[in-house]
Amino acid sequence: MSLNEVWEAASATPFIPLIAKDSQFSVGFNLLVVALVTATLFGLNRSFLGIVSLGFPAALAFGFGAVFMICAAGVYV
Amino acid sequence: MRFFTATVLALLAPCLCAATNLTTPSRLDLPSGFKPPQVFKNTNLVRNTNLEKSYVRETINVVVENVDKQPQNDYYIPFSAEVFDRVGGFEVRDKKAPEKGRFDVDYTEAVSSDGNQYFVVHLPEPLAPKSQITLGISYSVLSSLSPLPATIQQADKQYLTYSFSAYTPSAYTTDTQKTKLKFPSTNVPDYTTTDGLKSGSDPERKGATYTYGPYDTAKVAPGTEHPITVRYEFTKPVITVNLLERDLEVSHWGGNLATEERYWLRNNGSQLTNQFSRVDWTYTNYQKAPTSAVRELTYPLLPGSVDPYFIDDIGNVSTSRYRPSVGKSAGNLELKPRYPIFGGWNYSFRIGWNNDLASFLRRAAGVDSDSYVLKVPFIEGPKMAEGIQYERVVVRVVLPEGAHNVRFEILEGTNSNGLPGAEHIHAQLSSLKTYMDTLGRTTLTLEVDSLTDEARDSKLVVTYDHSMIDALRKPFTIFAGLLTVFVAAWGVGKIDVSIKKRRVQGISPIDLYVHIAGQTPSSPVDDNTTQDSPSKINLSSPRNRLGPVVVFIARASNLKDHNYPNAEINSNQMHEYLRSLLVITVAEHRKQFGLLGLRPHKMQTIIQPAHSRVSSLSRVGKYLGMALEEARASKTECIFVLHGWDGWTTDKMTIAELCQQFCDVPFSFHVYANRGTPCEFYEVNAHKVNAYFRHMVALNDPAIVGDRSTALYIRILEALPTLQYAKYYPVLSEAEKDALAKYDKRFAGIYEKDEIEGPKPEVAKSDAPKPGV
Repeated sequence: MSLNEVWEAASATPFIPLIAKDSQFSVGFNLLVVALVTATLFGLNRSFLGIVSLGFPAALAFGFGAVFMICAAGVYV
Repeated sequence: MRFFTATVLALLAPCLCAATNLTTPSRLDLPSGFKPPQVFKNTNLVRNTNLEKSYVRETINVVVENVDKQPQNDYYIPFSAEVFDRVGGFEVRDKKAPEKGRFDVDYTEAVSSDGNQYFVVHLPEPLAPKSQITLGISYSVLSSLSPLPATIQQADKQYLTYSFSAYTPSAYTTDTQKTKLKFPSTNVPDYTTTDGLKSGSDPERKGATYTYGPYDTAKVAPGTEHPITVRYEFTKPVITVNLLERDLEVSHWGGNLATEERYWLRNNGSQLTNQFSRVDWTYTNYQKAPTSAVRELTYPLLPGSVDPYFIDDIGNVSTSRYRPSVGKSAGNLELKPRYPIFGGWNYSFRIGWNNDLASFLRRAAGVDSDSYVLKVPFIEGPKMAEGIQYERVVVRVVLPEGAHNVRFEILEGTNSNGLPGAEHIHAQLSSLKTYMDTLGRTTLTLEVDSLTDEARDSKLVVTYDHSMIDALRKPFTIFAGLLTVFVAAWGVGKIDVSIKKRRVQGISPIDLYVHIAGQTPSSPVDDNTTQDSPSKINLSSPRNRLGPVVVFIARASNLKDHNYPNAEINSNQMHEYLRSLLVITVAEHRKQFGLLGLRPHKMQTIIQPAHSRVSSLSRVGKYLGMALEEARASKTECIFVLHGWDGWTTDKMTIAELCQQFCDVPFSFHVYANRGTPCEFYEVNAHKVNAYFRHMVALNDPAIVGDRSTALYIRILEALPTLQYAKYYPVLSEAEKDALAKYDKRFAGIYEKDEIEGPKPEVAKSDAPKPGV
């Protein structure tokens, strides 16, 4: 099976990104805001429970938010 | 933890698994003196040479017959060694069945005997004896046109010359052959005419087409040459790209295909005789007259292309225009270089744009859903009427980080795609680190030499695997990094760096003195302890929940040691009197330091002559010792609040003995005394006083000098014997007496009221406090 045939066979499944280009900025910005707020709350009371309840979601939001924000800025990673 | 470790290991695992169809071109090494076996004969050969563009495009249709007795399948096509490397897009097909695709071709090294290099065409099926096949051979020859004259005026016409042999170079005998030349115009001022090769005029001219032949060359030996040169007008630039680097960057997160191309461009046309004239150029430009300079490059972009940019060595070039695509029509990027590129001039620049990835990438159907298929143009490049030749093209397909199992394929159609066979494209995989990458992005690099813009329509298909864990590597790396910062912040916050803790574990100057003296305290005590107000002690700490042990102490030397002259009181009344003083002291102490914890305050009144020792075995000594024991048991500090400098005792050894027993207990005096009016509290470090009395430190020691209250206490206790002596044997001047009186007004009173007492004071009748006091 040539690769062109693989291409033709996959005509029904085009690649669809997780977040469309138009939404990257809003999603990235909101995630970063969430990360900022939760990280600040964690900074006010640094406890183990705070890591689980605030630090973990803050890091998660920052991880995805940073990726979407850099894409929105035109650096497609 | 195991999951975390496994995840990290999986993320760091090498992603560049070997792709299965990467190629490294190689050339056959023929033996010296090699000559192709004469097993074929060209019965008829027609060569079409197209000179309409700035490179030579040749198509040869030849009927080949096997004249051997065995089936044969290797057909040799010779080129001289200096031309061989400039031959691009070489392709051979069966002319009668082009849909069957191109034949496999091998390249050879130069043969030393005749200097030729060969393309070895492998026929898909061996050609039977006396059978024939019609081959369609097509290729381009780069940099084979030379301008004549080599230098011209700015507005002059440009002429190119092309030299070739009337007999098409072949390894085999050719019965009949002819060559058709297609010029860009009818303006062909010079061309070679032949004599004796054929009957009639040679070449035959028909418009812009010149035909040499047909010649009967059955008896002409292979390799025989008959040079022909033509010179024709070509007032267009000879655009040559020395190097084109083309990057295609696939972003799954961004849903974007970013394209960037870097050009190193040169015009190989006639050079200018004189210096460039801007005025002439403006005039020519205004008339839109033909010119040999590159005035503008028109670059068609695929539908949906956005964000184009055009940058050269200086920066952004604003003399460009982008006409975006409307609907499904192609966009047009019109690039005007900073200056017209005349013959011999260079210009390097880069352009780039973005496309939605959905048009180029599909998720492969089937069970392996982690596999993707990418289909992109191999090269695009400007579309110019005069054509463009590329000496070297490097195409990099930058796949997402973690992509593996990479395969590629160049699409073949029924016609030539302008590219050499896939086995002659140098392919390699590497890793490219750029923004937010941890391992680097998998990069497929394809390198091809000698291409022309004929390859504009070629397509490249790349398949690769990219799993979910590969996709999550970027956000997870950032997530892990930030979480590590949080955990580190929490961990650092757990480290108690407060001064309170150090007072138990640290080494204080006093400890240092004890070590110097050769003794080791049972537990170090920080001298800074008593420098802090006890009210500052952290009451929230469990061990200090009840606060320090505070003992209020007042002393009278004898029954006349009161402020009521001529009053006769007994010992009980004296204790009552002292206690009344302590009540004031307690009130003042609370005003100064606040409520020191929840522990009930202790009070002790003492009637004890000056300079007499308070034994630790006496009731008072035991009571004070018990207070210090309580502080030790509670791991808190003990404070003796003294009413006056001599509120407890004036005997050095009494102080030293008690301090020595409890050197592990923070111990301080709060002396309620005055240096004038009103009274105030002096916080004295008892251990420093002890250290001084034991001659471990001198009075000028920084630890004493820096602690003003302790130093004052020591000096006053040192002065008391003198005062006692001076009381009866006056040795002090009036000024000295006044100065001493400033420390405690009671000292002044010594000279006024205590006339009755002798040099050796009496011991009080009772030194025991009243029960409950």
